[in-house]
Amino acid sequence: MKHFFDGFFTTYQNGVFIYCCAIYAIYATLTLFSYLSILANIQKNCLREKLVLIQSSLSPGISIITGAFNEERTIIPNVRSLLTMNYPLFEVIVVNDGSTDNTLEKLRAEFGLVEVKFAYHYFIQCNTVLRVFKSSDPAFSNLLVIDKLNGGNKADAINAGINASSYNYFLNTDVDCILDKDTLVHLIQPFIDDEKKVIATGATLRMVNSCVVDAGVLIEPRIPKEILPRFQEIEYIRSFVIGKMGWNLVNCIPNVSGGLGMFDKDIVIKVGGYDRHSFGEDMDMLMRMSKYMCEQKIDYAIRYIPQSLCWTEGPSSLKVFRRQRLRWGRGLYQIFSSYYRLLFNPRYGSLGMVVLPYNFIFELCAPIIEFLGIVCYLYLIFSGLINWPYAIILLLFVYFFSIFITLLSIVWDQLVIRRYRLREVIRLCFWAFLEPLLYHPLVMIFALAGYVRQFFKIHTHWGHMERRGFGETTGPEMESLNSSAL
Amino acid sequence: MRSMWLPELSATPPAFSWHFAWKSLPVFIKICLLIALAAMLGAALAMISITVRRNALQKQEALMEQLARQVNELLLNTIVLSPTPKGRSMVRADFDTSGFYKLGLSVKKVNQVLVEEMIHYRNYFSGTIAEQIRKLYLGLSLHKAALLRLQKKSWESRSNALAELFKMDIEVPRERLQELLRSDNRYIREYARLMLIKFSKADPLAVLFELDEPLSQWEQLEIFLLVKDRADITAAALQKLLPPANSQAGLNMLAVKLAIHFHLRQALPGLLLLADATDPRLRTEAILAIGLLGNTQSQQYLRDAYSWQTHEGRLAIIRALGQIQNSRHMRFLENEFLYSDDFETKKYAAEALIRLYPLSKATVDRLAGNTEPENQVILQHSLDPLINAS
Repeated sequence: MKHFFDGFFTTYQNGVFIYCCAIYAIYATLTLFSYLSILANIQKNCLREKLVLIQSSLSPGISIITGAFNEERTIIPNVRSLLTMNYPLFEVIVVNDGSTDNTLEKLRAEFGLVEVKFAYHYFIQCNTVLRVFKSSDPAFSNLLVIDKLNGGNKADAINAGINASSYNYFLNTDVDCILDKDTLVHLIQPFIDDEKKVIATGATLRMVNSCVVDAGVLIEPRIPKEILPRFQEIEYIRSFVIGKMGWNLVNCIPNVSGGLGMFDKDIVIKVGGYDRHSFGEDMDMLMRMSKYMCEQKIDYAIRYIPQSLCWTEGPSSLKVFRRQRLRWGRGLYQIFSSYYRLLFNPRYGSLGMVVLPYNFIFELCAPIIEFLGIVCYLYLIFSGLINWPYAIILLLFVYFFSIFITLLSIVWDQLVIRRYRLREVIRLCFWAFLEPLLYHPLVMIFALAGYVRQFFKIHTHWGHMERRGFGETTGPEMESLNSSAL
Repeated sequence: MRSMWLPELSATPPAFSWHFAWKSLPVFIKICLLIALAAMLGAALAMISITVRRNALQKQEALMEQLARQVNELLLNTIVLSPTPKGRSMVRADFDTSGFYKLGLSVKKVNQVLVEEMIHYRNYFSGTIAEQIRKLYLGLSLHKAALLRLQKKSWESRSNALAELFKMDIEVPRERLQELLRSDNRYIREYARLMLIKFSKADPLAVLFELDEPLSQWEQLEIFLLVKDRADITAAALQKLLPPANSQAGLNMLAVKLAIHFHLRQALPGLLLLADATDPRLRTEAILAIGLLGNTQSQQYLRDAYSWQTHEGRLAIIRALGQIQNSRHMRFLENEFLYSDDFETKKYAAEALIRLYPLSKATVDRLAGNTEPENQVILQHSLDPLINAS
């Protein structure tokens, strides 16, 4: 029996070592790709005058769709912020997803909404739409509010919005997100400027938790003060700046974040809209869109831009964070149970040969391998078989390499955005040293728990993100900001 | 199962010492150690780079901001707020440029800030002020630096220089542009095309006739903005961008937009051919253009084509028929509204009928009183000014 265990652990160690080297080689390559991608984007921005889009009568229309469930604390400033986007032709569709608080009442009072006889048609499935409202104030003529029965998830609300949208492109965002004024201009650009047919675009997301926000507008971005959101900030920078931008160079982006993504509406409708039963509806949507394009033999692209355009509230309590990560874990597991036939299938091009294999081996399997690695370590420690010097060297290798990648992502990020104060960036760098020790184990455990729940089909609700609302600036704070700016 | 290469955590531990011999380590442990050390060093360098670069950039940005303020003030005083002396032409060229020279134009960054500010002004001012800024740009010989950069090998330099000259309305010799049209870089080719269109005295679209690459939607927007106010866009030129002379979707789309904008009915034969385009968006735009520009014959053609059109094509035909102010196809629209199984067809038919007001008022009133609940909602939707206001 002991021989069996020893043999198993030796083989496992060798396998994990190769796995680890492979993943780090990929990260190193992605870091390089990401750098090239960011530079290309900066150069392109020098050439493309955004004013062309703003001035042109031919700029394509965009529908901004956002779902709202019990968002009374933030709904008004956020909708106001959406209505002031810098773009010539757009509409804002707010889907009140069966809120039990005063979300709808607040909207009605603030924007002078009146119920209209809207010929609503269910092109894609969603729960029953009860009423549709338009503003009687001409200043808000591009605002449409849909009141529907709660669908239990965001996908249902977005589907309801897509059914009522007027334009060919739509922006999917969360109502708790603060968007940059130029978000539409930035995100539509790849659709009209790429040599391939672009089906979706996305941009970097940030934590809004400690930022100064006034009337739905970001006044001063700040690094989150709380520990969990701060770690999430680091994770987001790494994921968007290195991951998404790196994959962008080779057109292998697996996912456009649910917080901010622009999509070609025709294709979304052709693939049946968002899956209401998926826990990872954003990745699922992109998988189906990509699959459809491959099957239609249309050369397509999914593009990411490095600019931070969206500031979202990250969970600050462990309970909410756990719920979010359980959902993400379940979502990833679901994706592979739905699309396993595409894995290593050359018919699906880079989707079948790069995107899905990478995500299967290095995203889905990573928490499992990590967990088994910890078990293996513990076995070797308790059986006295561990070779401490080698083990320490290997741990240092893993630890410092991951820190290095994280710090590089912060350096790359500074190429694009320098809105954080220097001391905050430095503080963020120091927190990057703690991330693998404190935060990463949580991510791994919650992902595994999500897999287990999905495997045993344990029923869970999506859960609601408890909003704190944004720290609206007070008079003295604004004054101090103004004086510091001067 | 022992491996020559891979480290074994479970191997018998050697006597540990901080000075253990490097040679005794397995190859992969050596590699790991080296990478770990390199990563440590890299991490330290990354942090130093952030601190040093950010500090340097912050200082540079502060300087640039100050410079931009100075430039802004100079431009305001020299051009925007400076009155045109009596008896002179509206566009002056006799500026007091000493203030600009004092900034230190030989410094690259100063030059860059000045040009950026000038472009910014030209984006927001038109007419005399924009022309005076151009004259100032020439007066300060800033174009010479851009023309020099046009000779450089790097595509970034060349494309930036072209973009700058384009935005400042500075003509580049035609032969040079013809050369740049053959560049490997897409952006250089695009700017060369835009330059040729902008500075063509006659037939600005000529450069597009021989185009052998797809015209991006972005370039369509740029070209449209360039030519929309010109008086020399002819039907003959548009014909060359439409089938059968040209079958490239991007060019066809541009031609459709221009035909609508200039209301060129002579482009109709080409537009009729596009009513069968494979690209659904192009097909829709072409059909709508036929509706807007067409005569009775072409409208009848659309009506006849309805039976064999795709779904998108049919919807476009219904919309197009709604744009024609005559009652010839009202019965057809009414039938589609009443009897179609497709929701969108019904909705578009209702909208088309309402667009035909006041000709269709009696029909709409009758339908509002006698149709099924679903049809009534569609009619009410189409009639509601709040819904159709956006």
